[in-house]
Order: sequence, then structure tokens, then C-alpha cells
Amino acid sequence: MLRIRLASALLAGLAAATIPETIASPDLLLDSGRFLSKHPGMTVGLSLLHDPRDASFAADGRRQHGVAPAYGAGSEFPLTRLTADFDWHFPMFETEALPFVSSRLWNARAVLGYAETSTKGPIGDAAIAAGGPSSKSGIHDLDLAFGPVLFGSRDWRSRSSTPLSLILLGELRVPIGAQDPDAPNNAGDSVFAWGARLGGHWQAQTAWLRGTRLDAGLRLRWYEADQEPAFNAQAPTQAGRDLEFDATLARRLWRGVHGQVSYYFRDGQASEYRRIRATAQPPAAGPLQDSFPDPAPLRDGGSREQRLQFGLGAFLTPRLWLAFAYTHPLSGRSGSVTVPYQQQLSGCEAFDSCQPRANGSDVVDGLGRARSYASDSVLLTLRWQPRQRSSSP
Amino acid sequence: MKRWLAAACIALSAPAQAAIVFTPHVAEYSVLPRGTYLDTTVVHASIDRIRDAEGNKVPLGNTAIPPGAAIDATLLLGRYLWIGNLFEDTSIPFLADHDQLLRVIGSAGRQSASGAINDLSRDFGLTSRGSGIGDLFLLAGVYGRQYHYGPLHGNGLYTLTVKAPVGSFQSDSLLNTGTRYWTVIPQLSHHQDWFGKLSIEATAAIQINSAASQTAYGGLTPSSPASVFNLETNFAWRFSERWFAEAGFTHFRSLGSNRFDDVSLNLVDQPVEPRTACNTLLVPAEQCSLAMTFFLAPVPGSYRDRGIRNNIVTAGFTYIYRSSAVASLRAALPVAGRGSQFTVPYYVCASSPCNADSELPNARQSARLNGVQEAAAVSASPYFELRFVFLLFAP
Repeated sequence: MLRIRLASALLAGLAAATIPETIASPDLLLDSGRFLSKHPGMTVGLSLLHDPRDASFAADGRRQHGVAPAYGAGSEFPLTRLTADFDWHFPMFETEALPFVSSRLWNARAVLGYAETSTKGPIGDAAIAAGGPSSKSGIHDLDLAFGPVLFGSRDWRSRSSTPLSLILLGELRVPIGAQDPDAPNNAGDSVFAWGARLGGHWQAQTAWLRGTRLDAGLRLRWYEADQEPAFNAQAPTQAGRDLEFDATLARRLWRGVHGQVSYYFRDGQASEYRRIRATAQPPAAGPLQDSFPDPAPLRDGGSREQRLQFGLGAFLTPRLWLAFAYTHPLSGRSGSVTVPYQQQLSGCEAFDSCQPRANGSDVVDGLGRARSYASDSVLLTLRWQPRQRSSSP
Repeated sequence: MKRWLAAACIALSAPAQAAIVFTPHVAEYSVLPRGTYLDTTVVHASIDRIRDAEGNKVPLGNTAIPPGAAIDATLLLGRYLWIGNLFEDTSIPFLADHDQLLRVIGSAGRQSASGAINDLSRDFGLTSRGSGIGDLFLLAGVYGRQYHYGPLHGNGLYTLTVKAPVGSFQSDSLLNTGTRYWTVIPQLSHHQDWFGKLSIEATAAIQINSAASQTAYGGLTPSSPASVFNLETNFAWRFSERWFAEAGFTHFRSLGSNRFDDVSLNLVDQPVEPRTACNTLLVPAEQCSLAMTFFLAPVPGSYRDRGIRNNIVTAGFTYIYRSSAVASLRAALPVAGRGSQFTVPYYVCASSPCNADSELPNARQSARLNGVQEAAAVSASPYFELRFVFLLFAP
């Protein structure tokens, strides 16, 4: 009985922090219990993600082979990432009797890790030909979140279960991830992001639904302007605001084995590109002419993605949880812009006689946050809940 | 010349690196209970002014970059501290009855320049941004004798730190979170407590730097960074059970000059138009009228600056929560200093390759370049530090 209770408590405590979307990719672990008000203490998660990222959604929503078709077919951005996430629930200032603050639990989350990236195919060849690296591996950005349990924690000292809880989190991404402005594929985004997330958790109490759990969340996120966008500024200078919705339905299948199915949706506003320096297939310049991209800002049509995730998890011990998740993108849309080119007489600057004229255009597949990948990914997660006395402030 | 001076960009590294090891906080050097501590610190700065070699506060990039250009730097530190006594069951003098401490400091960060600085870097075929992990600091020390005279309590602390240059480093980048040289830092520190209200920390240290295995940004980081002397103090007044107010002072100066042996900074697009040559290298007006183009190249050699120094005042407050967590916020304002600058002659040639054999007679020009990154640049802009200490395991 004790074992079952511990397991239930841990499951409640599991699925703590969501894995960060350091790179726009189906790499979000939508664990059941992520919006549950847990007992005070810490949960630690370790996740290993592999995403071949060999397909993407075009600007018109078509599923296409390769991630940057402007450079030709077959470009890939494979990603393997090891992530540690920490989730704390704790009371704050409870002896001060501060209104709102002292009467509830608070939640803090931190996510960090290492990403191994590489670039295959024509876009990688182009990066190397230009003298830069084709990818940059290293630590990824640090995601922090903090906020109150709005509902469901008032009786945290005495309650035995929480059928319903509601958590509000303020979020900040600190862009410490490795990034090389010359590489098309990087471990880090290198821009600050901030936003808020509201999430709820519900556990069915009726007899025929007992053991069923539902988590649902809504998130808004904004991004800092990128002063040095990657790969000839083919990544957005100003990524558009993201609106995200996620929901997970989970149920105990057998003993300590649980199954879940999750849905994720992201809608990204239009992103802006400034001063793109080079493209894949620039139009040829006329005789004695220099050709260059028009430096005027451009906006794409925004990005979007929907994905479905299936998960299966089991308790190895009452405090140790192992889960496997498979994510399949349902649909999506990547950012893309058409870059107008200009040409002018070579060396005209010396004589103040430059008269730029239109010279065709070229397409840029937006990189970084503008890409929506269409590849299936797998995720393995190990989660541990230390004993409270050594993890709680 | 303007554009060459515009290479006077810097990293946060100077304040940040100093903050890692030296900047004392409340009771930083007091004899703490045995146990394991974890703390994290976030340092953030937006740098739009630096010190030149004469100590003047000048805009970043001088006049070649439009006003408003800045470098944003964020540094995140994670520190692990163990306090105990490895020798208490031995008869080794001093160590047997004085606790020791071991500390590991890891860091990660991002340093990013605004658009005009990035454009300038591209003119040199270089980049600006640096991000990823920083260097690793390993520290070992032993507490000195504790003394008690009425309301006064105090103790010393003797430590040695080794900095391993494992951080992210790109040789083409203006900004890097790591370095490419080792540092050994002997440090003497002292703590005093008066009436249980006033906590005083003071420390003196010398950073002994090795030669750099690699330089960055066209050789504008020193190939042989000078050693640096550090002197820091902090006063904290406890005005309630949980709250402290703090004020401090930091001074550091290089002992001797930085040496630059690998200067290669040069414009990518060559030959240079006459007007560009005139603007960038102050070529005499009569030559500017010539309808010819120039090739440029730095004269190889070993160049030295006059060393760097900086004085910084700090103020902040600290809050202690439940005896197991400490949060502090601090602002730091540089008040005086001197940055790294050195003069490099450039060949001016009519053909490529540009070197001593092909240079135009009497056309050689000089550019005053600024040293960049941790060992050479001195910020004149304030920075902010948020620190959170968490007692992982109760002593």
C-alpha cells in the first residue's frame, strides 16, 4: 500500500518541467502531471532526445523531404540532446502571513543540457564552402520558470490528494547555448525569450474514470531581437510571438505502468528578417555589375505546428520513473521569404554614381525558430524524486 | 582610422571574471559550518562605454559606430562549495585543526553585440557573438586562526585557484565566454564581524596568467596576457534578522603590459577604394585623389599596451531565507580605469600580396587598435549581479 501511495505521489510529482524547445522541433516531453501541485520537494529529470530532422513543412504546409530545400534536396539537421530538468515545489514566507504569497505553494523550474548537432546535405556544404562551420554543438539555452500554484495547494500540509490544480508560471530563457553565427544549425538560439504559462491538472474521481488524469496548458512567449542572426541572417532577426497549447490524457494501464497521449499546437506570428547577406541561388549579375540582396526588412508568413505524442512509462522503484515517448508531427508551416536582389556597377562607390536596379530574387527557407520539422522523434526520460529533507529549502 | 578604432569592442569578461572568484559577499570568508553548498549567480551588463588607454570614458567603437551601439553580456555561474576537514584525524600541523574548503566554479554565458558592431566585424571577416560554457575554476583553501575580542570576531582564509581554459572560444569572434590561457591565483582573505551587525570582507590576489595558446579577433586578444593584481572589500550591515545592506570596492590592475604577437586584423574586401583608404588609414589628401586602390596588411611584430586597471564601487542587499537560502542583488559601477590600446603600423601597397617588399614608399600608416576580451578591455558601464545560494545538504 505504501508503495502504491509513494508511486502515486511520485507520478503526481513526475513530469515536472517540460523539456525546452531550444530549437523548434518536436522535442517537448508532455508528461502527465506537469501542472499538478506537488508536495514540497524537488524532482529531477534526465532526458535523451533523438530527432533526425530530415523533413520539414514548407511555407504552404506541404510535408517535404529535407530541411532547407532552397539549397537542394537532402539537407538534414540531426539532433541528439541530453537534458536535465529540475522542478521544485515549496512554500514561501509562510511565517510572514503575506496575503496570497504565504498561503500557497510555489513552483520553480530549471532546464539545461547539451545538444549534439550536425548538418548534412547541400546547406552544410554551402556553410563549409563559405568558410564557416556547418553546425555548432554544445550546451543549450537555460530555461527558467517561477510562479504560484493558483489553486490546489492551500491545504498542502494535510491533503492526501489533489483532484484539481492550476499553476501560473512566468518564464525566461537565458540564451547561454552554444551558437556560431556562421552555422545554419546551432545548439542554442542566442536570444532571450520570456512569457507566461497557465496550466491545469485534473484527476478523475468517479469510479469508472479513476486513474485517468488530464493536463492542459496555454503559453505565450516573446523573443528578443537577434542582432547577429545565423547563417547570413537566414534566421529571423525578430522571431514572432508564439502561442502554444498542449494537453495530455494519461491512465494507469497495469500496476506501475502508465500510458498517455498528448497533443501539442504552436502558432508563431510572422518573423522579420533584416539585412540578409546571401542566399542559396542568387541571380547572376550583369556584365561589370555587382549583385546583392536588397537590405530592406522582410516578413514571412509565420510558422505553425501540430504534433501528437504517445508515451509509456513505468516505475522502476517508488521514486524512479522511466518513460519512453514517440512524437509524430501532424501538420505545420515554416517561415519563408523571397529576397529581392539588386545590382549596380562595380566600384561605383568610388565615384558616387551608384544606381541600384532590380535583379531578380531568391527564396530563403527561414532557419532557427522559423522552421517546423516534420520528422518523428523519440525521447527517453528518467525521473527521480529525492527524499524531501535533502531537496527542499 | 575611424573604422580601425571601431575595433575597440570589449567583452564583459573583465567584471565577470573578477566577480567569479574575488567579489566577496556577506560573510564570504567567514568560517562557515561544515557542509555542501550550491550557489548560482547571474551577472548582466549592457556595455556602451569603455576606457581608453588614457583613462577616458569613450563610446563603444568611437565614432565609426552610430550612437547606441552596445554589447549585452549575461554570465551565469554555478558554484559548488565543500567545507570540512580532510586532516582532522592526522597530526599534520595547522591542517589538523583548521577546516578546509574546496570550490568548483563553472560558468556559461552569452555576449552579443548590436547590429553596427556586427557589421563592422563582417568588414574584417569576423563575427561578434560568443556563447556557451566558460572556463572552469578549481579552488582549494584553508581557514586561518579565529579570534574573538569582545564584539569583534574574525578569521583569515588562504586559497589557491586554478582556472582551466575549457570555455567556448572562437578565434574569429569579438566576444568569447572562454579564454585560451591558464591562470593560477594565490589569494589572501580576511573576515571580521563587529557586534554581530557589521560584516567586513577583504581580499587580495594575484592572477598569474600563462601565454595564450590561441588569440581571437584578428589577434586583438593578448598572446601573452599580463598578470593581474586584485584588491576587493565589502561591508555588509545587518539591519534586521534577514536583511543586509552592502557596499564594496574593487580594484584590479595588470602588472606590466599585455603583449600582442598575432595581430592580423585587416579588411576583407581588398583592394580598398581610395576614399575608404583615406577614411580608414588617414592617407594624405594628395594621395586620395589618385584613381588607384590600395592593399593593406598589418606589419608583423610584437606589440604591447600600457596595461589595464579598473576601480569599481558596488552596492546591494542580501536576504536570508529559512537559513538555507540566500538571495542577493548587487549593482557595480566602474568609476575609473584604463583600457588596452596599442599602435600597429600597416603596409599600404599597390598590389597583392601586401608586405614589406610590395609596400608603397613612405605610405605606411599606423592604426591605434584596442585590445579586446577579458585580459585587455575595461568596461565603463555598470553591471548587475543576482546571486542565489542554496544549502544543498544541511551541515
